[in-house]
Formats: sequence, structure tokens, C-alpha cells
Amino acid sequence: MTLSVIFLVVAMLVGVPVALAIALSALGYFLLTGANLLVLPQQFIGQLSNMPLVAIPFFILAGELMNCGGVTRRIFAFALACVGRVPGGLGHTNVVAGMIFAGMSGSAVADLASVGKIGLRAMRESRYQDNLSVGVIVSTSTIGPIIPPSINMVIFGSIANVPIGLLFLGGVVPGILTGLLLMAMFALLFKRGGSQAAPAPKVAFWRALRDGIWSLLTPVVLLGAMFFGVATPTEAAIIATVYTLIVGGLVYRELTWKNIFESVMSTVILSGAIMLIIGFAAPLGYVISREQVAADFGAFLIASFQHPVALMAASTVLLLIVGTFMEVAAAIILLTPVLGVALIGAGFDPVYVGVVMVYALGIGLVTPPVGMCLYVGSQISGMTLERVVQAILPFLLPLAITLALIIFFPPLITWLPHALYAN
Amino acid sequence: MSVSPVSSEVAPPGGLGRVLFDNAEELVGFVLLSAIGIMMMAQVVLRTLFGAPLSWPEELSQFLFAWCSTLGAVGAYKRRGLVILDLVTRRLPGGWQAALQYLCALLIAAVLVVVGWKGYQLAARTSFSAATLPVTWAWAYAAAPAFAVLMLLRMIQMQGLKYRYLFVERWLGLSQSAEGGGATQ
Repeated sequence: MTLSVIFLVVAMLVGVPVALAIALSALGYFLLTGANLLVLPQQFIGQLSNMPLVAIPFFILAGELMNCGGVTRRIFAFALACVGRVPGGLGHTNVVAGMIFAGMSGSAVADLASVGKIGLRAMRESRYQDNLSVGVIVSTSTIGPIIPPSINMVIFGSIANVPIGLLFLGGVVPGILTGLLLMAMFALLFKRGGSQAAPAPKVAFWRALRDGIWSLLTPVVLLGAMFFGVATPTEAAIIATVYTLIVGGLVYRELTWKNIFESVMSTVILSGAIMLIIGFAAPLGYVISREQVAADFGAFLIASFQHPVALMAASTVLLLIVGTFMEVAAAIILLTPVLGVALIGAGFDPVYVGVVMVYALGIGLVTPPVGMCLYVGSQISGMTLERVVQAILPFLLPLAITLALIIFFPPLITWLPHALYAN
Repeated sequence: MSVSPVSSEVAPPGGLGRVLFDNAEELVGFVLLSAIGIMMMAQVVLRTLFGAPLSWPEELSQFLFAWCSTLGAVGAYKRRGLVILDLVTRRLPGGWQAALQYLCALLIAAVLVVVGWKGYQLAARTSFSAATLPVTWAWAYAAAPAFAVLMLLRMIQMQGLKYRYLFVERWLGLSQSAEGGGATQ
């Protein structure tokens, strides 16, 4: 087992794509233990034909269509009308728009590449300090996988057998809390150094609302279909895609056939890349469960940390460390059968465990060395990676505070799902 | 981990035949994903509005999704869009980088050969019938050897023969966002 982990790390470091490095490490284990190699393709395809995961491409597709169809732009305009007039308004606008967009997209990169891009352009036009602008757009993107829907929660739920709808609801309060704290941090930094920025253009609230109402209804349609039991998360993702097609194509008339073709094409490719990781993580997960790592690890954890809070805190430190150097989807797939299952076995609420895991690993998206959002942030801003890292540093504090809050006050996560599902 | 840079190369010339050949996997993936979307949407409508869902769309979607994902992954590979950790390799001198590239290609080929060979055996042996479709699960498992073979061929084509693909999105003159790989989180 240790050997396969070493193999995994070495293979990734020499430049083997993460998905195939994971496959190699499982293969190494199978060869060393003389296990039946048929398990490798069987687990691989078994995972790729897992119904809840079909939601993933459609969450990506809905986001792509929203960008082409004018939905994202209207959401930004609405957010601008809401909070644009306060000092540093564009920064707050970006956070609010990011939160609304997170209610339709399941991924941080989608958030960053859409709302973040628009926000950065607006802030540059209004002469905001670049550090401040890039810091706020990159950190806001971490809300994407917290506020439902969330690709990462779909992955966790499908592995740990936790209802995805409950996990989604568990992310609502932590997501909003993150947004509020990020806005507080932005206000603080803006007061100290950004006040030469031009005030935001004035946008009439009612006009923005009227203009953007169909866009703003997207999260309502998506989450409503799921929570009122009309649709499974996978079906909800498809409903949201169709809704966006209708709004962008027939209502706004901004979506062209070319846009649609391009969006579907890029979804096939992007989801292929992520599904390859998820697929090959299955045989490795099989190895992990076969070795009873989870049971041993769980027993070890419980023996070492008697107090549940200490146990959770130690687990979170582990998650943060793994998150800094591992791709999030892969980390969830590898850690859920070990850490996630062990924590649930130790008596923690499965929804609590899932949201904490997704949150803590999500912070890894904006921390070096491996932080997908840092790369995207550098790509859309033209800043070097090092400068993006500097820009994001102060914004890590609100993320850390939120994480601590949700760990020490579990009702922040569990209250909403239990309140809604108790009735 | 890298988000692949949008390449500024000029698209190589070519006609429809070349585009179909260069983008075969992802074009089939395109059709499959669209089919899943249409089928599942029809299923939701039939169930909620008419109370008469069909029995087979879920299972057929599962089959198609296995194929769609693996074919999409080949498309991602051609666009250098598979998630890669280039933290260490990026900082090495050129000679080392080239040597590591060979090592990587060997490791990838090794795992693909096993996936292809064992996947073929698995598909050949599977007689487990699908619950709602008149086929066996062999049709889903066949995606594994197909993926391995296609990846190997594309690897030889891209790295061995230095072939340059004419991507469909560029051929149609669309923006190049479809190439920004790795945007998975």
C-alpha cells in the first residue's frame, strides 16, 4: 500500500497525467499482490457508468451556456445594482454575483472564468488596485463548489452513500458565510489602500432586476426541481441546461448555434478530463477498501483523538495539507473511503463530514503549489503565479475563519438540511 | 498542474475529412452527451407531466456516459487538456525534460496496454444482461479497451509522428475556449 502511494506521487511528479498516475498506482498494487487485473477495467467502467456522476457534464454545460447566453452578464449587472454603490462596490458586486452564480454552477473554475473575468475587467476599468481585484475574484471562486450545486459534493455523496440533496443544502449557510466574510475582508483592504478607485457606475435596481429576472430564476429552477423531489440531481442538472438554452436562445436571443456547439464540445472535453480521474480513482479506492485502510485509520484516529473536536480538527489539518498539493476531485475520491468513512463511523453526521471535506479541500484550489484557481487567475489576469499568490493571501483568512466556524458549530451545516427534511 | 495555454499556432489547412478524422472521438462524444441530455429530459417530462416514465433511459444513459467520458478524455489528451502536475518538470533543464517525457510515455503506454488487454477480456467474458436493455454489460465494458487503443494510437500520432491536429472548434472559426484544458474544478 505504501509502495503504491510512493508510486502515485513519483508518477505524478515526472509528468504522467494525474488520472493515469492513479491508474498506475492501482496497477502496481494489483501486480504486487497478485490480484485479478480484471478488476481494473471493471471498477473503471463501473465508476464511469455511475448515474449520479452524469450530473457533472451537465453542470459544466449549464455554466458554459450561461456565459454565452448573456445570463452571467445579467447576474453581474443585478449584483452591481444591489451593492455597487458602497465604497469598493465592484469588489462586493463580484462576491454577490459569484454567490448567485455558484447557485447554478458546480465548480470554482467555472465561477472564476465567468463572473471573475467580468468582475476583473470592471475593476480594472474603474482603476481598482490589481492585487485587490485579483485577490477577490480568485477567492470568491471557492464559493462555487460550496453553494449548491457542487460537483465535489456529487462525488463525495456517490462514494460515501450520502444523499446529494442533503449535502447540497448543507453547503448553503457555509457558502453565504464565506461570501459575507470575503466582503468584510475586501472592505477592510479597500479602506486601507484602494480608495483612489472610481465609484461604480450607477445601475437602477428595478431595471437590473427586470432585465435579469430570467437569469436569476436559474438557481431557483435548478434547486427547486431537486429539493421538491421532482428530479434527481442529475435530472436537475439537465433541467438547468435546458432552461439556460431556452433563456439564452429564445428569451435573450444571444445564444447562437455556434455557441451551443462550442459549449457542448468543450463540455465533452472538460468532463472527459475530469471523469478520467474519477474513473481511475475507482480501482485505487477498491485497493484502499480491500486493505481495510479505512477501518485501521478510523481506529487509529479515534484512539489518538479522544475528543470529537480534536479529531475533527486533526482531520481538517490533514485535508488542508492534501488539498494544497492534490487535485480536489482526486483527493475527494481517495480520502472519502478512508477519512470520510472513518469520521462517519466515529459518529459524525455524514452531511457535516461531507461539507467540511469539500470545504477544506476546496481551499486547496487557491493555495500553492497546486491550486487550479491560481492558474486560472493568472491566465485571466496576465499576472505571474507568484503575484496571484500574493494577492490571494489576505483573502485566505476569511476562508480559514469560515472553516473554523463550520467545524466548531456543526449546526451551521446541518441545521438547514435537517430542518427542511424533517418536515 | 497546468491549465494548458491557448496555443497561438496557426491552424493547419485541411478539409472536412481531416476534421472528422482528427476530432473523431470528441464528435462521437458530442453525439452521446446530447443523446443523454435529450433522453433524460424526455424522461423527466414523461414522468412528471404524464406519469408514464420509460424503463430504459437511465440505464442507456449509464452505458453512453461510460463511452462519452472515455472518448472525451481522448479529446482532452489531444488538446493537452489532461490534468498534469508540471511543478517539477517545468523547472528542469531541457535534456531532463526530454528524458522524462520518454519515461512518461512508457508508463502511460504500460497502463493503457493493461487496461486495453484486461478490458477486452472483461468485455469478452461478461454475459451479465442489462436490466432494461436487450444487451449485456459487455457493451459498457468495451469502452475500456476502446479507450486504451484510441489513446495509444493518438499518442503515437501526436508524440511519435508529431502530427498536428486540426481541431473542429478552430476549423469552424470559433473562439478557442474549448482548448483551455483542466478546467474541472
